[in-house]
Amino acid sequence: MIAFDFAYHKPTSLQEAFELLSEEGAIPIMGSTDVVVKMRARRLRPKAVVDLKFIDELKFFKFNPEEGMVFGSAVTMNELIEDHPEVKEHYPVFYQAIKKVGAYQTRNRATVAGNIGNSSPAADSVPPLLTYNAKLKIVSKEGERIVELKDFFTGPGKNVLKQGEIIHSIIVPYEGKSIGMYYKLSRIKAVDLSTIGVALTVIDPEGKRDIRIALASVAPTPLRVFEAEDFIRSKELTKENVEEFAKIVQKNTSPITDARGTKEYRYEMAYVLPIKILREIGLYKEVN
Amino acid sequence: MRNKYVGKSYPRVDAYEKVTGTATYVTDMFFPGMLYAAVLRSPYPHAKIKKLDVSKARELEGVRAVVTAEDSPYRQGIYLVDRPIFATDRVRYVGEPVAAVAADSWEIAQKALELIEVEYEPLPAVFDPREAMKGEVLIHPDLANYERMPIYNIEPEKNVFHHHKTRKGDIEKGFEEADYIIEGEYYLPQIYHAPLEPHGAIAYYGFDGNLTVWSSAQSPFTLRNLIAHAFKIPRHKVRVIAPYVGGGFGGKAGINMEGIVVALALKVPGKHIKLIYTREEDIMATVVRQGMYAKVKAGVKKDGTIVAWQEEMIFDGGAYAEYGTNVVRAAGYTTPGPYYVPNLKVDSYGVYTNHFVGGAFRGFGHGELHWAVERHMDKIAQELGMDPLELRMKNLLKPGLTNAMGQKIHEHTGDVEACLKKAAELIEYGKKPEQPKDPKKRRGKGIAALVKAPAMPTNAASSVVIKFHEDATVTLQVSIQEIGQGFNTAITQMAADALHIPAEKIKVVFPIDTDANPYEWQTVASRALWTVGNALYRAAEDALNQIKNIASQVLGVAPYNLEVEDDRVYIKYDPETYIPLTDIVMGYTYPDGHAIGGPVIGRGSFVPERLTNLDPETGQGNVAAEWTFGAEAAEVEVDMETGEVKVLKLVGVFDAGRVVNPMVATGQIIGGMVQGMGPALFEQIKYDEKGNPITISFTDYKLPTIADIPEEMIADFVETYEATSAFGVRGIAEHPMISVPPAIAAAIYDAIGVNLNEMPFTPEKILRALKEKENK
Ligand SMILES: Cc1cc2nc3c(=O)[nH]c(=O)nc-3n(C[C@H](O)[C@H](O)[C@H](O)COP(=O)(O)OP(=O)(O)OC[C@H]3O[C@@H](n4cnc5c(N)ncnc54)[C@H](O)[C@@H]3O)c2cc1C
Repeated sequence: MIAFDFAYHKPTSLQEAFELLSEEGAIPIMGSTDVVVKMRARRLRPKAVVDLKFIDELKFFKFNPEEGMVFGSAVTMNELIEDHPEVKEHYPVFYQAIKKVGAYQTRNRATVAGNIGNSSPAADSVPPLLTYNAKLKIVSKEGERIVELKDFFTGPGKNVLKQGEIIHSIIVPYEGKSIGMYYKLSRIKAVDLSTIGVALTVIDPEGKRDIRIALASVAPTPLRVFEAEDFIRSKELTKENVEEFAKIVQKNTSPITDARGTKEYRYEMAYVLPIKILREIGLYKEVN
Repeated sequence: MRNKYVGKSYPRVDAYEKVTGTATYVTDMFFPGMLYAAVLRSPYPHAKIKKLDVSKARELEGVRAVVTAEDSPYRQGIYLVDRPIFATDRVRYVGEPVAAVAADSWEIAQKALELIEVEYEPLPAVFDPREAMKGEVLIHPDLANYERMPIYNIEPEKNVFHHHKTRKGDIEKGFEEADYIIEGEYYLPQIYHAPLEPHGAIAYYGFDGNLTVWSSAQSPFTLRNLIAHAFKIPRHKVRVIAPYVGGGFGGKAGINMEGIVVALALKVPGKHIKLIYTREEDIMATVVRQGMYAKVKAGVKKDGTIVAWQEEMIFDGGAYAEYGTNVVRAAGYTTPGPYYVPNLKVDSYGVYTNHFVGGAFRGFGHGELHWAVERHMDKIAQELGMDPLELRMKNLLKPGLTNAMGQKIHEHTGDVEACLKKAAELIEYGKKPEQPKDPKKRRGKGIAALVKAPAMPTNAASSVVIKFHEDATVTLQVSIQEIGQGFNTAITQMAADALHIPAEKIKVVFPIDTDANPYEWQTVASRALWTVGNALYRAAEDALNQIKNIASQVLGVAPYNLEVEDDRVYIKYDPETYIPLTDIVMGYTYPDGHAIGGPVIGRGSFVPERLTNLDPETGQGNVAAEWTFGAEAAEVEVDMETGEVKVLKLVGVFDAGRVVNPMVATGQIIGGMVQGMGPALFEQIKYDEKGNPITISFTDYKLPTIADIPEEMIADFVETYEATSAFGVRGIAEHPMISVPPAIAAAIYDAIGVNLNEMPFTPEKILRALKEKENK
C-alpha cells in the first residue's frame, strides 16, 4: 500500500496528458511496475501520476524493412513477445532480453518505454536496443524530437527527459538479419534483476558480420562498447582477437558492489561473457 | 483398527477452498469499526532511546491509541522471556518495534508514525557471534534476571543465551586412537522463512475483560499461553482463533508480533485492531533462521571408522533468543547426526548479536548441524581417499548403538542405511553423469544423510475430541494448525481407520478456537501425526467403547463381541444382527420411548512417554521421542566460466514409519527439497558493514522459483513401523529441507573438485574456489 496521498489521472489523448504533466510533481506511468514499487517504499513521492496506457495513439506496432520496427510506448512486453512475431524474427536479441524481464505477470504490465524511462543501469531491454541502434521519439506540448537511445541516459535513474516530455515510441532500424544472445546473469532464473547482462548482436552474420555489444549493470548507465566493436570489425575471430575484444569490453566497465553481486565478479564477467556468447552462438570455437 | 484409508492418496480436504481462493486467512477478515495498526521501528542495530515523544501522534485526528514500552512494559518468550513487545530503553536490531499506533485507517496510522519523535544514541554493536562471545559489547546486561526454563544454560558475560554440552565417551582417548585428525570450518548465514502469507493478527479486548486474538499462528494454544503470560491475563480470558496459515515454516510458532495488537487492543476496548505485516516487516521483525559458525575436529581410523568428534557450533541468535534457545540445544544434542561416534565433545552456543531475531525454522537446528556434519564427512572421505557414501555407510547409527545423548537405537527406530541405499539407487550413484559437450560445464552427484527427532519439551501434550452427530457423521476437534502440510487430510484418514467409518463422514473442525478446541502444544517439530495420532487412537477407542456399551445393552451381548463398521455396530459372530449407528450415537431410544446412553463424545490425550531432560554437563538423557532418518542426493551442473550452478535432479528418501498419504507426503518432500535449494544457492540475509540490512524485500532476498527447480525430483520412502505410534508413523515434515545443501555441495565437489563450506554457493564463491584450486 502507498502511504501518502497523490492524484491519479487517466488521460485518453496526448493533449490531455501534456496538460496534466505540466504540473510540478506529476509523472507519467505505463505499467507502473517500477513506479508503484518505488512509491510503496517511499523512494518516490509524486503529487500526481498520469497513466498514459489508455492513449490509443501510443498503442501501435509496425514493422517494415525500410523503417524498421516502430512501436508505441504503451505496448507491453508480453504484447511484443506474443502478438508480433517480427520481434522474434528480426530482433532476436531484444526478444530474448524482454522475455527475461521479471515474470509473465510483470511482462503483462511492463513496457519497454517504462524500462527506458526508469533508466536503471540494469534495464534488460536496453542493451539489445542499443546494439540495434534504437531511437526514441519524444513528444511534448512544445513538439517532438528524436533522441538516439545511446544519448538518452545521463546516470542511474537519470535521462534527458524534461518535465512534460514523454516517450512516444521506440524506433528500431532494420539492418538485415541478426543473430546473437542476451546473456542475463542473475541470482535466480526468473523475477530477478541482472547482476550483469550482456547483449551481443551480430548483424548480417554471413556477410559483413557486424558485431555489436552492450551491457547492463556494469556502469552508471547501460553501456554500449563501440571501442570493442571497432576493434573486432573485419577481424578474424581468433583466440587472440576475441580475447582482446573481451578485454576492451571489460576495461570500459565500471561496476559497483550491491546486493546482487560484487564489482569484482561483474568485472570478471564483463570479460568472460562476451567470449562465452560468441562461442554459444557458434562464431568462435576455441575453448580457453 | 481398520486399514482402509491410511496409505492411500486421499484427496486433500482443504483443496476446494484453497483452489477456489475462498479459504480464509487473517488478512481476509474485517470487522465493523475495525482499526488499523502501524508500527514505528528502530533504524539502528543498537542504540539507546534518549527521547520518545508520541504526543503529536496521539493528537492526530483518527488516532485511537499509541503505545510504547511505557504503556506496555512486557516481555515475551517461550523458553527465555527476553523479547520486549516494544523496545525498552534501547533498541537491539534494525526493525525492532518502538511504538505502535491504532487508527481509523491504515493511512492515518502511517501519518501518525511520522509524528512520533525519537532520539537515539547509537551504541557499539556486534554482528559476529564469535566476536560477541568476547563480551566487549553486552546486548542483554540483564540476562541473568530474565525468566527462563531452567534447562537453558546462560553465560551472561559472553552474550550466551544457551550453552549446550555433549560429553560422551573419552574424547582425548578417541583422538589418541585415531590415525588421522581432520579439521574443518563451516558457515551458514541467517535466512528468512518467506511464507506466502506474511504475519498478521487482529485483537479485540471486550468490555467484559475477555481478549480475542485472530492470528496467522502455527500454535494457537501456545500463543494463548504466551500472551496470557506476558500480559498477565488468566488463560480462560484469552481466546485465540487461528484461521488458515499461508505457510509458517516455524516462523509462526510460539508468539511473534501478536503482542503489538494486544497492547493496542487493551487501550481501546470494544474495537478490533488489525495488523498485517508488509514483506519488509516480515523479513526484519518476525524471526529468521539463525546463522552458524561450526568448527569440527574428527578422529578417524585408516579404515574410515570415526572414533572421535569434537565440534563447536556458534549460533548467530540475533537480538533476542526466545524460541531460538531450543534450536541451539537441539543442534547440540543431535550432533553428529546419523552417525555413531563413541567419543564426543560438542559445544553449541547461542549468542546474541545485533542482527534480526533468530528463531524456529523448518529443521530447527538440523539444517545447521547437518551442514557441518555432512560437509565434514565429505572432507574426511576426501582426505582418506574413500568414497563418501562408503564412509557414511561405515559409520551409520544402527540398531544396538547409542546416539549422542546415549539413547539406544532399536530396529524400530528407523533405517538410515535403507534410506541411503535407496537414495543412491535413485540418483544412480557410482554411475558417472553424462557430461555436456561444453567442456566449461561439468556435472556431478552428491549424497548426504540426516536424522531428526521432534525438539520439544518432554511433556508436549496433544488431545483430541470426537463428536458424533445425529446421522452418525463426525466432527474431529484437534488443534494442530493446517499450515499447508496436509494435516487435516491425513488426520481424517487416520480417524476413519480408527473409527471404522468412511472418511467422507468426518470433518476436521476449523478454524482452531482455543475456547472450543482441546489443548495442543504446537504445530511444530514434525510431530503432529505421531502425537495427535496417539491421542486420536485413545479418543477413537473411547468413542467406540461408548457405542459398544450402549449396543451391548440393547443386543444383550458383551461389548467385546461387537464391532463397528461404516454405518452400524454388529455382533461379530452374527454379522446380520446389528444396530445402525444413527440409532446409537445420540443415545438409544427403545420403542416405548425410554432412552439410554447419550451423545457419543470420544476423548483422548497424550504426552510423550518416558522422556527426561538432559544432564546439563554431559547432555546424556532421553529427550527425543522418536527419530526420523533420511537421505538426500543431488545432481548438478556447474558452469566453470560464470560459477552458475544448475540443479538437475534431487532425491529425498525418508523413513516415515508408515506413509499416511503418499500424495501429500510426496508434496511435502518436494517442497522441502526446493526450500533446501534456496539457502544452498541464493538465500541469505545480508547486512552492510554498519549492520544495516540490505535484503529486506524480494527484490534482493531471492528464493527459488519454478524456473530454478530441477526437472527431476524424486520422493521416496522407507517404512520401518514406528513402535511408539499407534499408527506406526513418524514425522517427515521438516526433514526434506535439511540435507539438500550438503548434497548439492557434494555434487559440486564431484563436478569440479572444489569444496564450498559457506552457504550460499554463489557463482562468485564458486569461481573463487576454482581459482584457489588452480593456484594450488
Ligand atoms: C517483479 C518485478 C520484476 C522485474 N524484473 C525486471 C527485470 O528482470 N528486468 C528489468 O529490466 N526490469 C525489471 N523490473 C522493473 C520494471 O518492470 C521494468 O523496468 C519495466 O519495463 C517498467 O515498465 P512500466 O511500464 O511498468 O514502467 P512504469 O513503472 O510505469 O514507469 C517507469 C519509469 O518510466 C517512466 N515512464 C513510463 N512511461 C513513460 C513514457 N511514455 N515517457 C516517459 N517516461 C515514462 C515513469 O515515469 C517511470 O519513471 C521488474 C519489476 C518488478 C515489479
